[in-house]
Order: sequence, then structure tokens, then C-alpha cells
Amino acid sequence: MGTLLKRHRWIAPLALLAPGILWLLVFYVWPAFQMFIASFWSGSLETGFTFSLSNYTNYTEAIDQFSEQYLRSIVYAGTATVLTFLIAYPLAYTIAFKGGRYKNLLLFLVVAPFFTSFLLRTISWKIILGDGGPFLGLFKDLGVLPEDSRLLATPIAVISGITYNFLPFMTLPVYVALEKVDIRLVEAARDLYAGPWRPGGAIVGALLGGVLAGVLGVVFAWSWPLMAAAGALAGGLIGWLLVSESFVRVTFPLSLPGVFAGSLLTFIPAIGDYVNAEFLGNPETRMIGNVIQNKFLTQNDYPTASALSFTLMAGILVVVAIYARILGTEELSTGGRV
Amino acid sequence: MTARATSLETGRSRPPRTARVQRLADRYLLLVYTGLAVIYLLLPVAIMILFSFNDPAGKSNFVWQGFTLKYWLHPLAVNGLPEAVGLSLILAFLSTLAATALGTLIALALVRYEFRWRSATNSLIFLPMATPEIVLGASLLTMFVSIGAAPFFPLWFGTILIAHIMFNISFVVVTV
Repeated sequence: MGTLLKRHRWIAPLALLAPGILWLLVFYVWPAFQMFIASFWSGSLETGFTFSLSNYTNYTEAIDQFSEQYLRSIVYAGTATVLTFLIAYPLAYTIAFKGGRYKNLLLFLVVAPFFTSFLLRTISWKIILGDGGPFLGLFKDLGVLPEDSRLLATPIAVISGITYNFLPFMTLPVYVALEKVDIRLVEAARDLYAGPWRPGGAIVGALLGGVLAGVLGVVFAWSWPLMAAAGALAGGLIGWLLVSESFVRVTFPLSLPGVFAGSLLTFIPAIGDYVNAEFLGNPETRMIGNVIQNKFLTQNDYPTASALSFTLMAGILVVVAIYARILGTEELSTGGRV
Repeated sequence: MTARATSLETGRSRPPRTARVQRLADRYLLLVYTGLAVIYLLLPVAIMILFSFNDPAGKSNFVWQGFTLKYWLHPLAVNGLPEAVGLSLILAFLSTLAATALGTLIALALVRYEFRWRSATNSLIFLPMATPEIVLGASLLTMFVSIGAAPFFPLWFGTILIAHIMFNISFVVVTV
């Protein structure tokens, strides 16, 4: 056995890999291929399906018919990714650098809500954001919002739901990346006069905040100049007060792998998500996941559903491929978590 | 840290009021933000627990009506609930067992050995995570339907288990 292993060095990794990889090949790669075939079917469940290459029209028709939902999915997932970043980065930074002895407790608090089911959390948001719910009720009682204002069944509700549900996917990779930053580097930078970054921080913060809030305003159909102004003010203040040169030049660049991994881990499931749009949205906020789910399970329209799925998958793979070019495949499968 | 030390460290002097604002912000702003974020994270769970004591007038449980313990008196008396919980537990146990075993083996191979198909393997591990769940489930469904025979069709416990294991392997590899 020992000599055999020594002579055929490739046997050991192969034996380790074989069972899992085989499982993935049979139950991931093969179904994906099957689905690719199915996207060239015509017919229905009752009459049976026939395969023909000329059915590539499935793709053109599907994309043509549902381009609105594709676009919406990209916008919602993108917005949610930016929001998770804005919430997760300061959170992860505080836990990593200021957590002290509460570090583990804070990490637990971040992860704990996600031990409960995805569905339950989303339904809970439905209660919170509901027309008679605690959130709207409070603001209506205070007279800040008009009586007939709604949150549920709006893009805001759907995007907030996605943001909430994928928050740990951003927080944890960013935290791990920040945790790895050698504090001595930061101290060295401070010793070399990389102190507060007053004018620069304020200007960059105001610009970034303004642009981000303006885009958010457009997505949420709020007044975007107002949003941009508010964002610029907030960003400027934060940049002026909190951002130091050592952060900009040392800490932030070192945490970028975590940010990349987190964005990917948030954006990908978010773009195919249908649960949030189902519970928190309305027909006007349907995402591509809802269309696929409906086509597959309710209408039994397998060809169109397959074509839609495959287009979505291909799109995501392009994004991943671009990421892989930048980061390398190693970084991908470790998710920046090593 | 005193104001003098700060100004020494940054190498420039500044009016003391700005320094005070900055120190306050530095000390508390992030902590306050973190506190708010944690509240945001825990809110849905708290609401869920709170509303389990709600006494709704009709069927929907979306508006607070009054306090009751009645839903906690016989938590397993809901039709089909004990079976469903049992099935979930068995499914979770089996898929964790299988996915952990398969995933750990792959992770071992990836860490311990250099081999030719390494980067291809890495990509294959990442792909299921990069595929939306709806697409994963749908493609498995297409395959099961087109095989159209036991043990894959009609769908049963085993097919759910297969899907769960497939979905979880990558997460095990990444974490281990």
C-alpha cells in the first residue's frame, strides 16, 4: 500500500476528491446540462417535449418578454449589495478593532438571527413593515408620514428584505479580512504621519455619499437631488470626523478581498432570490426568480423556464469569471475566508 | 489620549473644539452605529417571538390584538406538525453528515496535494454557490422529471436529500 501510494502519487488526491466531485458532477453538472437541453424543447407537459435546435427562439422570446424582470433583479440585487456593504463594513470594523472582550458576543449577535429560517425572517419583516405594523404606525402617529403611506408591496420593502437576509454574507468575509489586518501596519502608518484626513476625507466622503444616496433616490423613486444632498452631508461629516489616512492607505486596501468576496456572496443569491419579492413585493416588483419559479412550478412551462434559468446562470458566470480574473480561482473557492 | 499627544502624533496643531468632536465621534459613533445594526439584526426575531403571543381576531397574524398563551399550550398539536418537524430534523441530520464527509475529503485534497485539475476543481466547488437556489432546484427537477422513473420520480424524501447534499458540499469545502 505504501509503495503503491508512493509510485502513484495522484491516487491519494483522486481518492479524496472522487466521492464529492462525482456527487457534484451527477447532481449539479448533469442537471445543468439537462436544463440546457430542455431550453431547446417545444411542446408542453401533456403533449410531451421535442428537442430541436430551432427552438433557440425560447431564448429570444424569454429575454424579450422578461427583460424588465431581469433588469429589475440586477437593480435590486445591486442596491441591496451596496446597502449590505454600508451596514456591514462599519459593523465588521467595530467588531474587529473595537470589539475587545465583546468580540465573540457581537459576532454571535450578528449570526444568531440567521439560525432561524429564511422564510420566518421574511414573514417577520412583513409584520414589521405592514400597513398597521409597528414601524409605519409609529411614524403615522408622530404625524411624520401621511395616513395612506405604505411600505409593504413596494421596491423599498423588497430591497430591505434582501439587504437584511444577506447581511451576514457580507459581514463575515469583511470581518475575517479586517481581522487579518496586522495592527502593527496601522500603527506604523500612524507613526509616519498618516493621521486624520480632514479635507480629503470630507471631500471624498461627500462625493461618495452624494452619488450613492442619489442613486438610491432614483431606485426608490424618491426625490434624488434631496437624497444626494443628504448623502453628501452625511458622507462629508463621516469622512471629516472618522476617516484617517492610515485607514485609506492601509486598512481599507487590505480588507478589499473580503469586500469582493462579500459582494459576490450577496449579489449572486440576491439576483436569483424570489422569496423577498414574493412576500414583501407586489406584481410590479417581481424579480426573475419569481418568473422562473412560476414557470416551473405553476405553469409547467419547462422550456421557457430553462431558457430563463440558463440566461441567468450564464450572466452570473460572466460576472464570476471577471471576478476570478481579478482575484484568481483560489480566492473564489476560499471566499477570502482562509 | 490627551490632546497634546494627538497633535504630536498627527504632526499638526488644531483648535481644541474640533479635536473634542473628533474624539467623541471616534469613541462613540461607531459603537452607536454597531448598536443600531445589532438591533436591526435582532428585530425580526424579537417580533416573531412577540407575535407568537398575539391573539389575532381572524386568520392572519399581522396586527397586534392582545396577549395570549394559547398557542404555546399545545405547540405540537397543529395538524402534521410533529411529522414535518421530524422529517426536517432527519433531513438536516443526514444531509449534514453526508455533505460534511464529502466536503471534508475534497478540502483535504485541495489543501494537501498539488494536482493538475486543481483550479478546475476549485471552480466546480464554487459554481453551485454561484448558482441561484431556484436554478439549482429547477435543474434538478428537470432531470428528475426527464428520468421519470424510481428512485428519482415521483419526487420523495431521497430526492430532497440529494438536493440538500449537493447544495451543501461547497459550503463545507469553503469552511473546512
